[in-house]
Amino acid sequence: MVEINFLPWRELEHAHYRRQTFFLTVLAMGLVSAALLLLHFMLLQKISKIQGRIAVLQQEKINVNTGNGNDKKLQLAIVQNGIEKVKYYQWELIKVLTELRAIPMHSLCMTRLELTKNALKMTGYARSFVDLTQVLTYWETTPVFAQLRLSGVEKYANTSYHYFYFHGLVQQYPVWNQRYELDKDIIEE
Amino acid sequence: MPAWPFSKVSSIGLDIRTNEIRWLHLRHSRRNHVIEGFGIIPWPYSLGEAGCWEALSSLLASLVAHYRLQQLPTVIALPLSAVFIKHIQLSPDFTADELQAEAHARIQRDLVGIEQEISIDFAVTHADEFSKNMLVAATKTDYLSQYLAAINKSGLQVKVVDVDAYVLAYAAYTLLALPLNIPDAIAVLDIHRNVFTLVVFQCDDILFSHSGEIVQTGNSYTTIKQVLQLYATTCKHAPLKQILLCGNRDQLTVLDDYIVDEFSLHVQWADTFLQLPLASSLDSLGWETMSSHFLACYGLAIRKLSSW
Repeated sequence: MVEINFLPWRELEHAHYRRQTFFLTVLAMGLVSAALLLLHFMLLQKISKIQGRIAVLQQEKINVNTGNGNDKKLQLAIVQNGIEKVKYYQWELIKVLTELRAIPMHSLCMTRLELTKNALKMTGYARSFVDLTQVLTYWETTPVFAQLRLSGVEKYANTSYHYFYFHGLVQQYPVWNQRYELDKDIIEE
Repeated sequence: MPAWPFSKVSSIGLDIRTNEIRWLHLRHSRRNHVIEGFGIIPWPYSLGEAGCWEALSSLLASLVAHYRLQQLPTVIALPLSAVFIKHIQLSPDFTADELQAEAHARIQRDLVGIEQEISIDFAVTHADEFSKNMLVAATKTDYLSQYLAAINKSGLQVKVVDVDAYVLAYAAYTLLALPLNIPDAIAVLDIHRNVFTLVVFQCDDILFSHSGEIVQTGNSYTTIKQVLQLYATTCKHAPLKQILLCGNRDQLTVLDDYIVDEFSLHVQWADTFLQLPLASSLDSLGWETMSSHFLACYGLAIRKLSSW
């Protein structure tokens, strides 16, 4: 239907849309500015927190360097010592394993290795007593094992294999009575 | 109804006539309109008379104060006689701004010699790929300003100024729930005291409008008959199918039967408003007896209001 309105509604409508556009633009700009400000303040807070931490660490470093932090220094030395021990332990263990791997007899199969402190127990299969004798002879020449003895041999029925048990000592194996907690940096003797 | 869901949802249709002011206050909800108030106030003036604006303003001010209608959006209508209407056919490529400029140019050209400022509005009534039909309405700004000032001074807020014939057509379409593209010509016969106004419309077009005095001889209404005959002879291309009667029903008890007998038309009184819900504070009996007076008010009050 025809709808007439003699009031200047078209001009009012244009003005309304202009106002609305302006308002929405200002609102959008305000929201973006508010979001940026919020982000800015959050980053500032984070930066100040990090700077505070840096300052504390720098102070600790100065204290350590000037000898003011003796406790800290001692703690660091303990940790360092602990790390060295761990490294040594690992190195010696690798040496034992390397030695076991280096035996020239191919008809021998190790199935189990038990280490309690420096006490060693080994079990495995061998094709003949000759092989076992050769192994014992070989290990007597190496400086890794000491007092190595054959504690038992069993022959499996219907096969030519012998199940053997060795026991002895690892000569240069470190005694490990320490507890190390990595998270706490504590080494207990 | 308002364009914005949270803007004012009430409006007043103010029908100011000679010797009478009718008002209808509707509250608009999403589903329907609720009648919040209505009334007919005697007014010893007609529009344009000396002193009428002051009297109108003071009368409306007391109405506003009594019913607490301050700053409510109000819709009024100018009489068709105070408006210059023109139909224009333009190229379909015209933009809204170009249409406005063209409307102003055409009215300035047609109303040569008028030195007073003119207020114009236009509406596109039909548009297809070949043409754009436009209806342009113009009235004197001076008259309009006085009218608006008198009403706004009373505390109401005029938001729309329409034309009475189009308002009646709009109300009739809404009330009868007619589709907008119905090809039948439909008439509204508005009876106010001893004066009648006949408006015939078809789709968006007012085909015929005539006002006259009711002359009743026994059971015959001579002037109404003459006007209907005049319409039948001048607008043969759009024969009348239906007449909607509104106004003083008690005064013209046998008018509907008379028109049916004489012209074999479908006649109906505009009392379908009775379906509209009424606010609890209102007198339903009073509304039932008076509802047929408020067709124009209803057409005004249901006009769409913008939030600006």
